[in-house]
Amino acid sequence: MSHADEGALHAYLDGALDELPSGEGQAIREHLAACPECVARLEEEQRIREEAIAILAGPLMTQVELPPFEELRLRAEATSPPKISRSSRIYRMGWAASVLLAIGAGWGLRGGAPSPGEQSTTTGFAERVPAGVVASAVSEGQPVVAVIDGDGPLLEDLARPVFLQEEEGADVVGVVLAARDVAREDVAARDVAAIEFAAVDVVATDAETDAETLQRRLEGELVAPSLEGKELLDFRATAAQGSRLGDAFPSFRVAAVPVLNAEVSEEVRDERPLRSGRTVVTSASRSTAGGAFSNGDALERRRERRDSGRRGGDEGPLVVPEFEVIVVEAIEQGAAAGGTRALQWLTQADTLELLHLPEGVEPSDLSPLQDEGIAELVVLRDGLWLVMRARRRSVQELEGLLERLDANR
Amino acid sequence: MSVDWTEVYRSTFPDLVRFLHRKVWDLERAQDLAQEAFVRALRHEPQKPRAWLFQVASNLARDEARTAIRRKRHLTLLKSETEDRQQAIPDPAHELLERERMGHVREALDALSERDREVLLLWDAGQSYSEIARQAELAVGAVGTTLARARRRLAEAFAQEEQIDVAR
Repeated sequence: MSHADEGALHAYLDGALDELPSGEGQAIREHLAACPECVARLEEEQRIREEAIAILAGPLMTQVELPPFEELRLRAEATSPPKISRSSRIYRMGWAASVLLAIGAGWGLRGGAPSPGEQSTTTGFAERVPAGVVASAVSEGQPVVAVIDGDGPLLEDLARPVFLQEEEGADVVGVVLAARDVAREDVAARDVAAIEFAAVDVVATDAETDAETLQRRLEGELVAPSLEGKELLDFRATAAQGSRLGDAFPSFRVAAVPVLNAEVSEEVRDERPLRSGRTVVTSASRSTAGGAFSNGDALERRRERRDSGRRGGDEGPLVVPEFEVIVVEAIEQGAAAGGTRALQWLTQADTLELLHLPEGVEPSDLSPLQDEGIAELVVLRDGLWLVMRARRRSVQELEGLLERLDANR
Repeated sequence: MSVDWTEVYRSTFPDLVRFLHRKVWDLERAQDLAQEAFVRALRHEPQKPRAWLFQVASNLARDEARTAIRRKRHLTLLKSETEDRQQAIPDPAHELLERERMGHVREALDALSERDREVLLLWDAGQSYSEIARQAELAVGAVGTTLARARRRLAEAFAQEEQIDVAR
C-alpha cells in the first residue's frame, strides 16, 4: 500500500483501526511495521495528538457532580406524553419518507447528465450547511447528487441564507439537502448511507482546492467518489469574476452557480430574476431555525414573487417563533409538487407540522389525515393554504400557535 | 432490548458535561443541558442512548448559542464559576492563570471549523470513531483525517494565543 495518510496514523494512535472498513486497519498495521518513513511521521503526529489532549485537558476538567438520577426520571415522567403508537409514528414521518422515496426513485431513473437545453429549474435555499455537506437536487425526475466540499469561506458563504439558482446554460442546479434530523434517533444513519452509495453527479468545491486534494477528501466521505465525468459547480463564482475553478480542474466542465447570499442578493436578483418553474424537492437541515427562514424573509420573498406575477411552489416556510425547527423541506406528492413543510419541536417532545401550500394545491390534495390523535387547523393566508398539525393538542391550542405565527409577520 | 438507564447515566453524564462545557463555556449551564438531554432521552427511549444523547446535546448547545439570553446568563455563571474555582484553588494567582488558559483554549477551539471542532470534542468526550462518524455525518475512514487536521489546528491556534499573550 502507499504511505499511510495522517488520518490513518491518527486512527492508529487512537486505537480505532478496527473500526475502519474491512481490511483497512490491518493494511495500515502491516504498512507501519514495514515503513520507517511512516513511523517517523507517526511520532510527529503522536506529538500533535498529545499536545491537543493536553490543551483540552487542563483546567476545564472540572469535577462533575452527578445529580440524583431519580430527579431526572421524575422530570421526564412529569412531562412525558403518552407513547406514540407505531402507526402514528409512521404517519408522522410520512412526508419525510415521501421525499426520500422521490429521491430514491429519481436515482433509479436517472441516466447520465441532463441533456443540454433541458431545463432544471429550482428555487431553493439553505442555511447553516454543515462542513462537507451533502447537496442534492431533484428536478423533473432527474436528481443530481452533489457534494459540497471545503470549509472556511465557501461554507461560511453557504451558511448564510442561500439561493441556488441556475446559471444560464448550466445543466444542473444544486439544491442543498441535508436529509437528516427528521426523526433524529433512527433516520439519520439511513439517509447518510443512501447518500454515500449514490453516484455523485456534481461536486462543488472552492477555488483553493486542487483536483487531487478534492479526490482525497471525497474518498474519506463517499463510497464511489470518482470525479471522472463530473461537472463541477462553482458556488463561489460571481457575475463579475466568473469561475476560477477552471484553472484548478482543467479536465472538468465547470459551471458557475452564483450563491446568492444576503450581501449580494439584491444585485443578483435584479440581474437574474427567479424563473418560475416546477418546485423540486428541497430540504435544509434543522439548524435553519437560526433566522434564515425567518418569517420576515419568507414573506418578503413571497411578496416579491406576487408583485412580479411569478408563481412558484417554494414559498419559504413560516415557523412558530421560539420553537426549534427540526426540518424544512419542500413537499412533493406524486406529480403534484409544491409548498413547504416545516416540522418543529413543541414542548413535551411534541411536534408541530406546518404545511404551506401555494395556489393551486388544496389541502384536500394531500393524503387524508388518518391519525385521530392529531389536531389540524387549516387556514387561508395571503393566498396560501396553511395547514397546522400537532399531536394531542386541541384546536384552540393550535389557534394560539397561529396567533403567535401571525404576530411574527 | 431494554436499556439500563442508571448505568447509561453514570457512565455518560460526565462525558456529556465535558462535551457541553466546551461548547457553552459555563459549567453550570453544561450540566443543565446534559440533564435536559437525559430528560428527553428518558421520554424518547432511543435504542442507542449514548449516541442519541450526544446528538441531542449537540443540538441543545447549538440552540443555546443562538439565544441572546445566554449572554446575560453567562456573566452570572462566570461569576459563580469563579466562586467554584476559588473553593477548589485558593491561590488567586493560580486561578488567574487558569482562567487565562481557559480563554486561550476557547479561542483556539473557535479557530477550528465547526465540523472539526465537533469531531474533536466528541472524541475528547470519549466517543468512538463509529459514533463520531454517525453524528458528524462522516465516513468512519474520514474521522481520523478530520481529527488529524483538528488537532494540528488546535495546537497551532493555541500556541498563537499564548504568543499573543506573551507579547502583551
